[in-house]
Amino acid sequence: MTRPHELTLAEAAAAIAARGLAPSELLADCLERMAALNPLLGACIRIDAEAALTAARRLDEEAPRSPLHGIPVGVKDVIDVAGLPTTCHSALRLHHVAARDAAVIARLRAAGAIFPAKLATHEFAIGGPAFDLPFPPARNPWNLAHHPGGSSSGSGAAVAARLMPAALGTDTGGSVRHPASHCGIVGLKPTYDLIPRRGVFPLAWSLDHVGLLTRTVEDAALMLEAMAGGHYRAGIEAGLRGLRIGFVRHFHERDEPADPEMAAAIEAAARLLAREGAVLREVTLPPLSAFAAVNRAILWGESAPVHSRWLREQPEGYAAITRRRLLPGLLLSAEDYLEAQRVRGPLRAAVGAAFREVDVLLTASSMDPACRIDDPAAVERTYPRQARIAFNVTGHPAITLMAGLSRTGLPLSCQFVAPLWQEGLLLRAARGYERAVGWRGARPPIA
Amino acid sequence: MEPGPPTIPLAEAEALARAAGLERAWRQHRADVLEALASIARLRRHLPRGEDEAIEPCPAQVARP
Repeated sequence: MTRPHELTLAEAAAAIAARGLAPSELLADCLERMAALNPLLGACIRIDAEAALTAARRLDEEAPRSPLHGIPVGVKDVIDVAGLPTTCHSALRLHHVAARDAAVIARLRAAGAIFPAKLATHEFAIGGPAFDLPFPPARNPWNLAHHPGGSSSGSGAAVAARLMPAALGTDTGGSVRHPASHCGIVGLKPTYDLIPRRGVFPLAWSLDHVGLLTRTVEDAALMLEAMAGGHYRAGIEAGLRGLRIGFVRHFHERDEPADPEMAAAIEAAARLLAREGAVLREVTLPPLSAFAAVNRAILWGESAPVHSRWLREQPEGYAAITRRRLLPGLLLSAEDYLEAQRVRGPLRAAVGAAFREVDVLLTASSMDPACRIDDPAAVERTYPRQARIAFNVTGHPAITLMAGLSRTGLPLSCQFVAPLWQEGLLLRAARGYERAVGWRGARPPIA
Repeated sequence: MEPGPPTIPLAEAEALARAAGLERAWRQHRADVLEALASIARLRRHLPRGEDEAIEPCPAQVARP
């Protein structure tokens, strides 16, 4: 018999709606799972079992409010949940307790979701896996010696290991889609501003997106409906036939040459989409280096006012890797920041122009499978070797999902991108690919 | 962007750090401050520049349909 924690969000929602599963049963099984695996994974930095069980028992007595009724959702610990600390995985925020729910939490709570755990992140959603913080870094469920991606590292590890069916993350330079890539799950960054950021600790407000991680595309659509309103499931089974897909091959072939296995997986994805009836054509965008430089200048500039007091008065309060990533913000010139914002418009226009010829884009997400978490040079290399950052600069919705397994048993991935506000189209492409490729439900050994 | 050694003279780096209010970081984490300055120098080499002086900074928000 399938244990409740193994169910996808959609399966659990159907079981709850049919009264075959109580929210408290689902939660209890997920809590048992967390107790067993979290000591290995470090995905959860706080498990709030008692309050979550109280909420679940109350939901047991209600008619289902929505598909999210009684669904445990993990929360990256930069997002406020009323009454719980929002530590940002930092010693500098250990005792900060949120007075009220973030807007996205309030929406999910109204839909019936339960929040049993705050999840590990890179410190302030920027650093990297660090061993000089109050909490350990999350680890990759496919291989505990490897990096799970970040900064929404706990969200990726928890969902892949089936501690919970869905989790929230934030994405400023790829931080939802990176863990999705490395953990073999689905990571969705919606259009900029689709999900309100109130109650989410900022990294760089003009690049910050609230996103979600699930095990299936259908689950991502269900989460998005609760987080944003709208009917995102409606067209996701429409299939790939006739869909015009622009293949941005130069990202992984020329701009940041991908690991051969990753490149092969992305090329295989393109061939599969064509076999399924999509119309593929190659598309050229500005080089990744242009997007990356603009993202970096904006991120540094916008993170500076958030962190200036701590950087000046308590620089030792950060992990070393976080301090190194944030310090440039206080030394950047206004000219550099504004130059990046000036160049941003033409970059967004270039991506927008591509969508006059195609419906969605197919690109790489990560250029490499997950590296070892104890190899600082390899960890450092993982952050720029990606094609996610472009769509934080432009604001376009993007989704990452599994595209295979490396010879060493680590997930490979690809990314779809859609026109602004066209999440339905994005989910249709991703669901069509997911159905054709057959990686849905792939389980890491720990699961 | 490629990592690389700091290229800014030490006295200039210290002046920039002090001007930014980073005296404590300069004392305790000098290598990090030097790396930050080097990172900015590398960024300037890679940051695309708008050819038209009249281009205005782009707002993050994009109009909803």
